[in-house]
Amino acid sequence: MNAMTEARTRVTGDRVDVSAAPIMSVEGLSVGFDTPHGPVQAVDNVSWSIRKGETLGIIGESGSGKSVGLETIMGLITSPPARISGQVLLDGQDILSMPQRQRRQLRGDRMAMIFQDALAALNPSLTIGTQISEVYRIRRGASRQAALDKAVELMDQVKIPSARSRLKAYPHEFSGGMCQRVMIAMALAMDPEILIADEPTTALDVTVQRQIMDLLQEVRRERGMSLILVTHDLGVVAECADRAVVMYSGRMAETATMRDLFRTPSHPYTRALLQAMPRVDARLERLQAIPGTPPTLSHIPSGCAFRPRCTFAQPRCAEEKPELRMLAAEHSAACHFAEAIREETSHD
Amino acid sequence: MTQKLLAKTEPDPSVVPTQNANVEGLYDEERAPKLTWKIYLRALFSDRVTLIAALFLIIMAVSALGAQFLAPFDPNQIDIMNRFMPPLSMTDAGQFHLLGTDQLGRDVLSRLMHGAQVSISIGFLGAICSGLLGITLGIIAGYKRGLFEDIVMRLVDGMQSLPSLLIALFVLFIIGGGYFNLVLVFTFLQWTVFCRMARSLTLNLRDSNFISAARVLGCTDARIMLRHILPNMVAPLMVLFTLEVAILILSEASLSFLGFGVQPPNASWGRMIASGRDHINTAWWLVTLPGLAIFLTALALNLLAGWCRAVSDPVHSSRWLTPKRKQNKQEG
Amino acid sequence: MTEQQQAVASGQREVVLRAEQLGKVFGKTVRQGWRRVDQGVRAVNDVNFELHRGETLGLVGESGCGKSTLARLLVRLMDPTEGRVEVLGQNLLELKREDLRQARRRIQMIFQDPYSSLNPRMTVGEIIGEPWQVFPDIVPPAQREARIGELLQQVGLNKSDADRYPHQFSGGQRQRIGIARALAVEPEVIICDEPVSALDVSVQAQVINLLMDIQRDTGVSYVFIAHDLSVVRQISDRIMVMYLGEIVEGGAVDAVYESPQHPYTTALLSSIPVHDPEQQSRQVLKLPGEVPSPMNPPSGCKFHTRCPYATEICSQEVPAVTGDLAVRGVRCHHASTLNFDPYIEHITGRVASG
Repeated sequence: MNAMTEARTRVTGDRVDVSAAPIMSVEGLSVGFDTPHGPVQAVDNVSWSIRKGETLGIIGESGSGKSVGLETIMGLITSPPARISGQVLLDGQDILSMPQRQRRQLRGDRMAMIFQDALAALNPSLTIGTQISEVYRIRRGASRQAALDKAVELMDQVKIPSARSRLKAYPHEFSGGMCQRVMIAMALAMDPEILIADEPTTALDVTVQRQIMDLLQEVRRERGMSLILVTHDLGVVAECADRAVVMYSGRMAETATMRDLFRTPSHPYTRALLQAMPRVDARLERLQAIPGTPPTLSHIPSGCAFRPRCTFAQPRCAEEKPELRMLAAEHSAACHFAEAIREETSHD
Repeated sequence: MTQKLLAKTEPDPSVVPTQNANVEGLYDEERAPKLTWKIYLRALFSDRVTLIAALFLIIMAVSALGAQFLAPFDPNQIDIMNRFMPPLSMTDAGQFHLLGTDQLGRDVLSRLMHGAQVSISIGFLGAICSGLLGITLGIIAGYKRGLFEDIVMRLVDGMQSLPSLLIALFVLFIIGGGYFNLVLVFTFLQWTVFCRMARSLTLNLRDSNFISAARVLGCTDARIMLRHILPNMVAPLMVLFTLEVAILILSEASLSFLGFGVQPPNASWGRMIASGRDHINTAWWLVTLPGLAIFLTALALNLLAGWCRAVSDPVHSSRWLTPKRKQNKQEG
Repeated sequence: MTEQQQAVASGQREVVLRAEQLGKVFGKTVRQGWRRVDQGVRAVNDVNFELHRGETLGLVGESGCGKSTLARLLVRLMDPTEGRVEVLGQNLLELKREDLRQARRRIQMIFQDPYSSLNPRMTVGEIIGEPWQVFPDIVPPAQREARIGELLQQVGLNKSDADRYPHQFSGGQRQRIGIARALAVEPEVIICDEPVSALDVSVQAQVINLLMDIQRDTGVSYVFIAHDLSVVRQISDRIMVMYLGEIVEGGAVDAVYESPQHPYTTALLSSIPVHDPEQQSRQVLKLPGEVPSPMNPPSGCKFHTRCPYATEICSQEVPAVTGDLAVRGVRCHHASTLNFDPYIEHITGRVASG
């Protein structure tokens, strides 16, 4: 009955103090790789920041560079083989230029990451208890028993039922949703300040997706943590995030607060994306599809990457790469006509 | 609305808007480029060891195929006067023997080249025959499953637990040695390797959606096996084939060395070692040179197989196919 | 109600696909004494429906609910353990090998994963033209090349693409090739097994539009399987909701979305994230736990372990179907007494009072 009686709650978390200084800021981050077809630029000059307790959504399709950027921040992609430039400032210190040892210390302590495919991210030959308690034993030098007790505590926090009896279970005995809870427990073990969730619910069913999103919001609120939510699902971002970054083809298309992004989308891509989504509350005669396909990284169009699919495209778009421009407080877009589009949509 | 907006942003009427608005499924020509043979060739040239192996195999193949024309002497021409001449020596008659002569005065280089013909062709023919038999049975077993699979796979298990060289000796003892009997015995012994591999590859493929799609379209089983399953396992089977050729060249050498392979006076590498064995103290080159030929050919084949496996693996191929960067420099 | 839906409701249209008491048990039946006991997993149970010409039937459910198994039963990639499948009045299950191959022309399938559903070693032209190698009478050899070009254009690709290989295309373009392949045999029914769930959002809409256009032009019928309820609403005329192998609710799509009668349907609808930051203060019917294992399904109503409204009767008695699941029906003991309005106001726009 618990689920039913839950009152009319905002799904969205409480809003954050906008004047607060950011806890982490990414400045001009670029990541490139060499491939058999020549060099590609997976992330191109991306800048954003996140405040304490804030949820930042990063929206993009496959190949938009949304995961690559965050994996670079976490230190999962390193140079070489990648070509990385720019800065990632954590408390004013550039973590990209830190020595490996120091960076390793940051992972877990200050920031942690969870992945889309939780089952694949867990070691199939170790028990859940061993995997969760491992962090305490290695990082904090806790005894075996103390570490296991801590693991049970964490499992309770992420609402894994009958936690103690499940310590000895193996990942394959868990469902997808449960594996994601185990991943979240492991990420929370060292009490990080920033949690990066890379498509945490994409592989899950709607009812379980709802549970996991609720859980993430809850632990974020309780711990005052910042959450970076990477997803292609605009609905998930709309419900959870305070601000969002829209990525297209390795570049930032637009960044805004959720309200601005949905009320006055100012980049043609954001606009088209919102219009292309099928609606659950009405059946449309025809969906407004975006023509064409997202470009492959080895063949990014000249000028604005969205140009070949854009209804507003002008000759100028092919020649000149639009820079990200501030349109209003907390709202920027990388389009030559952003101001006009913004005005247009706010009148609609 | 679009028009209104464009009017606002671009007051210049001479600017024509690009005509790509509202085109359903708009077409872009820029798609994932194909991995062409040029990329593979470039990768081969940047990997020096594999390149040397490939060149060595090409030289071997040319000298084997063209032995009749390229060999300086008749391999079976006996010249008792000039026995045991060391490499790089000149006879009184003014004949130059690059790799010396053997106990009957025959030119070692010419015999090596004709021996290559026999050894390499037995290796290839044996691998092709055992491959045809094994792959056919393996695909049918993997696709049809059921009793047929059980019988074939138990047979494979049984065959693979037999000591193959001993069986080969036994069979050759009964049916006699010689070129075609060797190929027959190799086919009989080696088909199991191909069969096992083809079956496991088929098992992986048969649950793919494109096989389901073919079944829904009403394709016959034969068509599915030939058109959909077989072409998709060419790459791993090629690797196996290359390794098998190397194994069979070694086996042929062993059997010929023991006297059960190619019969004298025909040359094969194994036979050359066998007949040179008695003179190992006085004429080192009679054993060493054919031994070296066997060793290097098998090594080159193994290296090439390893390289093929690496570049055909879709996960790791980019590491091999990516040109090495000159400097860690940032663009722009 | 659209014209099409009216025609469907009044039963004027020809039935192209009929499933009767379709069921599939994986594993085997074992004799215990003189009784035969199912020792398998019941993946699909008692599915009945009729699909009319030009109609789309949506099939919704979470992973493991048996919807993909049902799709495979319908095209007979798998043999059902009970019930029958009729295509244009012909029972697929009674057909011999050769007749079955012929009957397969009538019912085709589009797969979820655009990457594994095309043979990587065949060109696009070969893939699309392959059905004609099997059924040479569909298109005479002389016209095949032209027909491949037509099909490619119909699905929004270029004629010149016939010579390319699948890996040269993006996911959405591959899905178009898969659709062209299904269309090549001119089928009456296409089973779409999650055709857009692997695609990017910007490409999803293209493929949905394409499927709708094809239906309008050719009158083909779809069984559209998906887990995304927004997509299903867009394309379907009727919808059936599956839970643990059973249909729990069915009916015309607008009716089911705007007044769901089963708690599971309601939970699915209210769990959808709404992409409107101003509509976020709403009530969500949250379900505890996850779908139980089909190996060991709950007694009585299979949903009672997760149902917030479950009472004693639910764990003891299997609920009967109220109404007709194909027209408007529900499988729930309490359907008549429950009011779900507060949970679906983001769909209906009606704000519940109190």
